[in-house]
Amino acid sequence: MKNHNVREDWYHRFLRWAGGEEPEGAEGPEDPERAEFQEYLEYIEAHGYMEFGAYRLMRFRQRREKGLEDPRGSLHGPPAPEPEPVHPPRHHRPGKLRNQILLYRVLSAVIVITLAAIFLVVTMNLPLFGRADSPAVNEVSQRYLEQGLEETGAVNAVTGMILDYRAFDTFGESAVLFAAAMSTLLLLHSPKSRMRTFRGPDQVLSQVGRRVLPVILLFGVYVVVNGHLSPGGGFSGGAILGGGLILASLVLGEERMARMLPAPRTSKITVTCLLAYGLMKGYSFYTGANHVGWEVPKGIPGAILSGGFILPLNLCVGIIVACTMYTFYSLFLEGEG
Amino acid sequence: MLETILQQRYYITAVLLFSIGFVTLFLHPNLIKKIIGLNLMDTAVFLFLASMGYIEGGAAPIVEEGAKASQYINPVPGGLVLTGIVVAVSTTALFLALTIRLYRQYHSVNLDVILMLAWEGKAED
Amino acid sequence: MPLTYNIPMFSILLVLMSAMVIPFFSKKSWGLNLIRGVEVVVAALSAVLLVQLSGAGESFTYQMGHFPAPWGNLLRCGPLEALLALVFSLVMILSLCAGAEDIRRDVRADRQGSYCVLMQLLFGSLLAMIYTDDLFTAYVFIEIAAVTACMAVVAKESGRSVVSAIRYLIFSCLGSGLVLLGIALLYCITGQLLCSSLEQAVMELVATRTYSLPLVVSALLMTLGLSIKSAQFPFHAWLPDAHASATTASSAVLSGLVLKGYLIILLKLILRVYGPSLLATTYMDDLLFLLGLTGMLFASVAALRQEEVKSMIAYSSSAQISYIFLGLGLGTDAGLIAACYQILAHAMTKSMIFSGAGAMIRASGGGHYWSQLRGAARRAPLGGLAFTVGGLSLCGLPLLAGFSAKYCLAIAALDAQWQTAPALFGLAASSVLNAMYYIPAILAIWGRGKEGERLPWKWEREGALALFLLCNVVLGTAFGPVRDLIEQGLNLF
Repeated sequence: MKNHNVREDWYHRFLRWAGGEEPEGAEGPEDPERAEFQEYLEYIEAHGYMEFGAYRLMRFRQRREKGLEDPRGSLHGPPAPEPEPVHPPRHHRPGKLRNQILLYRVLSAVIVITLAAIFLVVTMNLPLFGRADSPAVNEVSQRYLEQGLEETGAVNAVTGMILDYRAFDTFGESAVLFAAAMSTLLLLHSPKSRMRTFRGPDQVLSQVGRRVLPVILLFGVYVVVNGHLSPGGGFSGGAILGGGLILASLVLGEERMARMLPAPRTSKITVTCLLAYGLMKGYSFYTGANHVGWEVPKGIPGAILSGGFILPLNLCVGIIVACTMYTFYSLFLEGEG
Repeated sequence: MLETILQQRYYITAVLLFSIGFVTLFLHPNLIKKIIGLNLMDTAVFLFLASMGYIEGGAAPIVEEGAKASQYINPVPGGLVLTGIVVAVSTTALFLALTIRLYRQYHSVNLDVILMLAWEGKAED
Repeated sequence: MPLTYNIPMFSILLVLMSAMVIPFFSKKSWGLNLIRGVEVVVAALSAVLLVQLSGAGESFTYQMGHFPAPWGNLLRCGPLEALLALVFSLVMILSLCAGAEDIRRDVRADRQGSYCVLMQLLFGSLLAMIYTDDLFTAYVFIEIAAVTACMAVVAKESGRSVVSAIRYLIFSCLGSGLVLLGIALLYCITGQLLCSSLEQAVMELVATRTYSLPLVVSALLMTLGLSIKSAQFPFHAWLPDAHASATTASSAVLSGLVLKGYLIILLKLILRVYGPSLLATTYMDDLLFLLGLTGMLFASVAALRQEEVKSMIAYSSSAQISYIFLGLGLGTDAGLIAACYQILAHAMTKSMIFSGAGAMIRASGGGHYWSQLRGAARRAPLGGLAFTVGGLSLCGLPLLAGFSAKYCLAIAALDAQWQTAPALFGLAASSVLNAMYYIPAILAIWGRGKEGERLPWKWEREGALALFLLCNVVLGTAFGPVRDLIEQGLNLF
């Protein structure tokens, strides 16, 4: 019925529509197209790869000659082109698309070769690697290194830079993470989706996991909290924490984790941390730009409670990253089922 | 010439990685491979940035009181790479989520097949 | 420092943080109301800023935090930025009001909160792109816009929208990858990320003739990346499907605003980083000009062949974006003014057309082919009127916004050198082509079709459409003041 409908020209379609028939909706649950595609998948599983358009053509011919009981195995390789069209031609044909794809491939190959050649020439003309006199080493990085300690209170110059000098970037960055988490939530989460039955973890995994898990979580917290003193910080520590949460979900079972950290709760935690970040930075943007004073005390460099807002900011970022990583994992798991 | 090539080896590796990623992104119809290609491209840019910040003999920028800037490598590219990685993670996650959605609907991760199916569907839509 | 100078920072933070509050609401309709309320506030604040800055004829930089220029992040605001922020927030509110019903219908109830969050983040990233003076910040917000715009397409949840979203995302990621590479190259040879410091460093490099190849390649990469993202002609493959398959409000915002956000970054690159003279000596100007010229013609021809209303409007967007490239490529001040005028005019007009088309599609029970829309304007009169006025405006009917932009562009083309004849020819040909697809469409929608039920009157939608019409006429008739404002803004840019 549906396929029939397509092959009418616009005028007839319009007449039918004007006669009060509504055009059928898009794909329903028992979509013939999907069923056909399933068959196609089985077919290429058994016979090796074949393009879908070619397959459809073949099926179409087989259906016309009804004598064939077993549609599979009668044809090897792609069939001869185009049987005479029974219906008037359509506007959107797979063939047109295939031509476009071919053109697109040739074009992209040409573009890649040109780009690579240009880049190779450019690398020859760049400042030499590892030299202290390259243009990137200038007053900007010098101040970050030499005065960063007293201006931000952070021993780790990279942390000082991303959370104090260039904190606005980092706010945007956390917002990207948040946007991605909301997007996967929107795409994959459905509140009434049944939990997959938990198979029970692998013995080795559960035994090792249970012992390793506290260490991983503790290490994550350590990296986050020491972000301003040693290599690490909110992003790396948050990733470790997120890995720990994923391991916890593997060891303890998705159901228990889902009860502890359901998707709405994780997104609320993320959002709280983002808001805290925004408020803290909003405060320092405002006071900094208006020269109000009221700076947050920097503390003694090297102490754990130092660096003004950097420690709480690192904590916020760490929680945001950990929650986002876990959200990705749990939603992908849900999406798989 | 050869000396320059050797000196710039990290940049050249980055260019090669970028090209491989680009080819993968554009020529593989498989969506998962496209995602891998995209990540390769991003990684190439990060390699480029990170090697740009390196100064021979420089230490990691964990500074001590009263130290000279010349003792350390440039901290700025490090920060930029950090930001870039986070952005790459986000787009990869979104990409994967879309792929899962498409797989649910069309039972395929081959973009050509999906486009053909969608094309057919468009006429009926 | 006057208190009003905090407005750019405040509006960006307010918008981003209002997006983050939404997940706390249990009642979903609050989300939409909250984001529209915040946008009204931002529009009002931007208007205040615009009046103050254009009155005083000044622009200012605002340091984000305690550290001055090359060390900290910086925002920069002048009359042009304030004007853009005002127009963008107006378009955003009106699109969300006009498309509110479609959002409620197309987006599943439990996902409307997420949709509002993403739209608001998109708006925040656009504001940040307008105001920022730092290339790397611009990159981060470009990525936010990429992620959220992709989700704005996919929120409708038809199979087609997911497919077009993934194509959109591929192109978008490619574009931002190229932009990032360009920024990295530029950083490698200058050591700066801030526009004003970059300008000095670039001038030095040009004067000493060092690293000229990497400099040109970085400019090329960023232009390429931004033209992919703004769907300039040869890279527009992703646009029609993405914009056509989204819900009404998303289409309006994507076509009207998101494409323009990237062009504002391009404008910043041209004016603040590379400087017009460098572009002229490296023939980047001519590249932009030719891109614009071919885009105007080819995208319009492609629009002629569309059977679906939203696809046609989307192709027409690509053609209209080409006008902006044409203006940028002229390389004169008048050309830049014309480009900015076109940014404003197209933002207003295209979102109005999409909203009008959305109302008509709704009135026709979801049919979006021309054959199904026959007589649709009789069922949704104000939607039909919006579509008609918008279409005529893009064809170049005097007293409407599109005409003023074209007029501006024509004046600019007259002063150019070799570009005059091709630019005028392109303008004329593309206007004729515009008329060739909009006028039959307008005739079709007002023609006699099936007597259907009238679309019930909703203040939200009809009010938004009426305001759209008003804004369009204002932009068209107040040609002199708007042009002066843009000129002042560009001088202070």
